[in-house]
Amino acid sequence: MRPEIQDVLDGLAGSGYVADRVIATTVHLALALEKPLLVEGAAGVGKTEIAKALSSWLRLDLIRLQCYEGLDVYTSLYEWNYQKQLLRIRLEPENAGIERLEDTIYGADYLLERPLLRAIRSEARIVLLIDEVDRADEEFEAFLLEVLSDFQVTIPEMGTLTATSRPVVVLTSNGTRELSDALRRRCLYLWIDYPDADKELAILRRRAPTLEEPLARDAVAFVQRLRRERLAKPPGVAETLDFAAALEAMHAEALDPGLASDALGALIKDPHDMASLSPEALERLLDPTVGSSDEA
Amino acid sequence: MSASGTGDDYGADPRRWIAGLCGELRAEGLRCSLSESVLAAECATLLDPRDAREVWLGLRSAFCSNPRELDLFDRCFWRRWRGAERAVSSSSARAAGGAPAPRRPPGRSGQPPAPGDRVALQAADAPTPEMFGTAWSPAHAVARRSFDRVGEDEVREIDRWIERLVLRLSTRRSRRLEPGGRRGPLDLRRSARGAVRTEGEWIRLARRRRQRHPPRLVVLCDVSGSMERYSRFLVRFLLAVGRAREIQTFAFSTRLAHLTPWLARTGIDPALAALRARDWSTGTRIGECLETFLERYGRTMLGRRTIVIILSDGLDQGEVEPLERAMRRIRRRARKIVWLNPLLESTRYAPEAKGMKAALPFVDEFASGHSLTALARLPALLRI
Repeated sequence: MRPEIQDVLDGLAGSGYVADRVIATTVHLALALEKPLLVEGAAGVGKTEIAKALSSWLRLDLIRLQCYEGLDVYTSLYEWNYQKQLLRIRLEPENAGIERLEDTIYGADYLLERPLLRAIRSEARIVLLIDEVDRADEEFEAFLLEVLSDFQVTIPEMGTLTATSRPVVVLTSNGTRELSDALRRRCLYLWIDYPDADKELAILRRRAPTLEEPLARDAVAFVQRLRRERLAKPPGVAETLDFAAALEAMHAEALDPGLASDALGALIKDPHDMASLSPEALERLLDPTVGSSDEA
Repeated sequence: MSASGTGDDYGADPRRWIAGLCGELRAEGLRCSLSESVLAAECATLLDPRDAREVWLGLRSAFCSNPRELDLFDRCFWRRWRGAERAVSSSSARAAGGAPAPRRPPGRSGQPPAPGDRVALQAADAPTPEMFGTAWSPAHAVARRSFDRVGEDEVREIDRWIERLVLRLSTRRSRRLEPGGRRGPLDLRRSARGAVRTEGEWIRLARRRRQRHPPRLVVLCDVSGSMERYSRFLVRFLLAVGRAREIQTFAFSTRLAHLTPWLARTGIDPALAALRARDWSTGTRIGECLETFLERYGRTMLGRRTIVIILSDGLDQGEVEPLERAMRRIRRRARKIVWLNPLLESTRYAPEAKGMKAALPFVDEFASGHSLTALARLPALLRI
């Protein structure tokens, strides 16, 4: 293993993020090649957390752009400060000349930076997180492609602005829509699966250090088996952490069906999934003698 | 782990090795262009060539771009890394040039099957002069005839009617706003621009309105027994209606097949013939097929813009429970479910079949779709 990859593992671990080699290798490549990192995976496997951990490890500011349907240039790139512009126009003496006025009110002082412009104009290197890019529409994706290819944008009134240092870019997607090939090709691809029991336990130890070890093991084993059920919304790592916190709040010592049922709301966020998990089903899931290999 | 065999070859010349891998991936149907191999070669300079796992993970992030490709990549990578003998056989295939995609079941990798009869497709699809003559009229005899009573010789004629029927469909508006209109939210940017010229007085207010966006359609057609005929015309109709829009078509009976890649290459009839050749038209397992659809395609194809159209008589041989479960999940993920059941044509029909009964609570629109006239009502029903 390259020492740089070990550095990534250690660095992310130092920021509270338990990475594995899949993640570390791809992150290492993305940093070295200055390529955007496209992270996909089910909800709650820690996609967004990667950007946060990178920002804290590399000591770079994090700029986050949350995507949604209808997101456009106004909300992602820049907007003019209309109130300020209006005041300025009112203060202008009559017949002062429209050109001069326009130069003033369409200048940097009247510009409201949105996340993408802030990322480009930042003097220092930053981490740019473009979260849930699949929620934005195709038009926005095309615009993003332009920004990501040379980190410059054009504001008609001001000209072209180019980034002084290339940001570390992390894009996340929940896969609700197929992203364009062009965007995918710009990026290094990272698929994050649900963690295996060892990794999930490591995460739990790090994020919930006060949780008793036997209980942590029980909780992880339970969640791991729960994910093999046919659920509409299988629990992610975030849910495991909530579940552990709930167990701790109830002063539990070992996991039993009653406790699991009480704290199940932390794991299951879908009424039909909830209904399908009867007391008998929970008992079966918690029974260590029922082999897990036949369910796999 | 230390490398051996072709792993050693990698150490000797990573670029060459990667170029070879690229050829094998392409032969397996993975899209793999120059930009991917260049990226992979760049990655290789940053990876330890003696560490197989590291090379594997690194190259994977360069070559793959969605979760469905991961398995395929893993298989190709390790085959090439471990065994020289198979690498030789596929390199001879590469030497033959072009690396044709092998015939595979549709849907698994999203790759279309081997090209079929393209000439027939062009003949069927090419607009003929008389098509532009008469206008579509629902009064025409053929328009009301149920598709299962359409003779073989009339199929082409109906296809031409469908072409005539292609309605200019209005499209749904998206949440993205574009300049224009008189009633939408204010467009501050353009209004402020205008106010510069009127000494800061906002005299003309510019507004924005919602853009129009076509919905995406996912069509699941029962091709078992008598349903095949209806399915054929529905698909034909939707293809004609939605040339520009995104339509994903599936056929099902006891199994599910992704038809879209076939349709693009061969057209509907060769695609259905290929399914028939695999002895498909025996029985229906709707529930299981819908679950397969959800598992493989649900994430990417369903969404707020998706309308799901299911054509089936609902005579299901499978269990009711999976059907109900799948319908519930589709209902939650899609904008709308339209169920077309040709049996509805009969006024005496009541949805008594247990499969149909189980599915109905989740259906937004229930229609027959059995004839041209019935199909003509579809766009309004879908509000597309």
